[in-house]
Amino acid sequence: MSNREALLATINKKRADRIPFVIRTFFLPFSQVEREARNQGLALNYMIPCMYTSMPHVKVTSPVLLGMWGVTKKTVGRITFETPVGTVWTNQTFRAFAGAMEGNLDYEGIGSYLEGGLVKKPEDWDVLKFMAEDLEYEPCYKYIEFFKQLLGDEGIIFTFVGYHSPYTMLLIEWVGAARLYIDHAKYPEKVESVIEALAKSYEKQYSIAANAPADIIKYGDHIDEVLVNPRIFEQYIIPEHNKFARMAHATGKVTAIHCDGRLNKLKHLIGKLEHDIIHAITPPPVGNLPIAEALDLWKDKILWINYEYHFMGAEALKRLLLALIRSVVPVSQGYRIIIDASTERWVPPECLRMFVKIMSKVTLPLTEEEIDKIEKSL
Amino acid sequence: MEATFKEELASLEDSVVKLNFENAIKAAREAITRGASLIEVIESLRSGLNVVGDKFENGEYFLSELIVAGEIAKEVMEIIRTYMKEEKMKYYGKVVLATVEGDIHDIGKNLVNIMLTAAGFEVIDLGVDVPAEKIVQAVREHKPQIIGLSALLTSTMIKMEDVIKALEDAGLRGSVKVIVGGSPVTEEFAKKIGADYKAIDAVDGVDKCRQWLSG
Repeated sequence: MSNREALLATINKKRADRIPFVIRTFFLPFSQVEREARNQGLALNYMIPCMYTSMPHVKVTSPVLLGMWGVTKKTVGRITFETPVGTVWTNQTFRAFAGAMEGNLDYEGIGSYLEGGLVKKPEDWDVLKFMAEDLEYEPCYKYIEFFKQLLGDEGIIFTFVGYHSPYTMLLIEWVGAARLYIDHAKYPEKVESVIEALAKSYEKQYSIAANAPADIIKYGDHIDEVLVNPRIFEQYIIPEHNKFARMAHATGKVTAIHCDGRLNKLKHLIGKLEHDIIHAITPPPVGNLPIAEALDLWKDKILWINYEYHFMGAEALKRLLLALIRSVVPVSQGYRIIIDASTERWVPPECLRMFVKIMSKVTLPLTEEEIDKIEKSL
Repeated sequence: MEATFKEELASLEDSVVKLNFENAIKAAREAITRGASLIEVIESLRSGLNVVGDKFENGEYFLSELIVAGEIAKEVMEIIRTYMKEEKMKYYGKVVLATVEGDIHDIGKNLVNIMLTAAGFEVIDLGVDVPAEKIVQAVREHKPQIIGLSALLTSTMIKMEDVIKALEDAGLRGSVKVIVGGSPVTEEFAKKIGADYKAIDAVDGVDKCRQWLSG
């Protein structure tokens, strides 16, 4: 099977001939290491947006990125959203060094970030409600089509619904966790009205995403049990995600939710999601839900695993990766998983080499004996 | 009078547990007006926070509830501070807190700040993205008993080791306990870098700080 065939078989719950192993393109600079890895079967995955979003009645001002012309460490600027009902702002830190590097991301994979949040006083929630109601979306599928032709058999294309679902949009992007929790307790009607406004607005983008020609449609959401506790997950995440998943499944699409945090307390609730793929699931010790347990609990799900052990070095990576694939043998024989080599930062060469050396030898159905042979060969 | 302010103190504790801002602030003001000492108000606040902490540990409450309770405590402490000219605060100990260099996440650290303050510690919060040299400088200047370091990324938690090394180079390591926390920080990592303790969460971290200073 080609890389693409193996990936498509897995995400469509059919049997691939290997555990697909992939990397996000912006985490893999062109290089000898990249060529070697791809020659051994490392697949590629592109994340391409499928729509433009705008707020036509909101004036957004933001400083110019100095790093486009020179390389500086960082620039802090104020980003402001002016609306007819008020203005909100926050500080945005631009890692200007990123402007000089491919993909506009620095070594940590972060281009810029908001500091604080947009809500500083109760009245700011009214501004956010205006912004939510003002969101507009325009489909744009041409880049997905272009990258599909470019990519060929080398991998797979994701697109995504906005970025986060209504609650997590506030949690992560517009407000921040602490302010959201506090204001939700102090001013529940204001906060709920913004969540509802976002949910209503998002219905417009669901149909755009559901018809996008990508292989997988991802919907948010950087789920972690600490920030999104079981009560929040059940009340705000499940209903919204299932609403989208049903719409996308009706058009024959495969859907995913990004769950890169700790999930043990949410494991039974995650089973109620109608998505096909749990994307970016992170095994212990960084995550807290073993992959084998997740496979056993969620028998209808594909696990797209975030492999985050490169910071431990090649030997620890080897030990943990072999243990991981050993653990899935009794539960799924290696089926229903995809392993993503990318992490929050670019993968050190010796670690990527070790990762690919192991994964390139794995065939399905996987057995203990085969893993023993792989281990001896390293 | 005493019976009345005791009711208000009980109401304060209960309001903290039930995460009711309005009732907590009202009860704190009323208790003080009716003759409760500031220490008694702080003790009721702490009792409420302890119950919140217990509920967190048994899985009934989560981080969101801890943060709300912490904010209630912060607002009550602000009321207390307005009366503080007459009564002096006695601190349990001093803690310097920081999110390490390159990392801008601060929810956990801010929660620890509030809980330590309510527990009677003096807290010097250096903020986020704090280089090791700045932490060393803060130790020289403030002479804390404890330093708390936070990181949320695998790529930034390695800076915790830089902080500990900088303290050693400055001859200050022996004068402070170092407690580390954050989701990617494992016990193995904490041990490897020479930290004194790895906090599971804010409640655990504050308990450890109390334990250290109660000898």
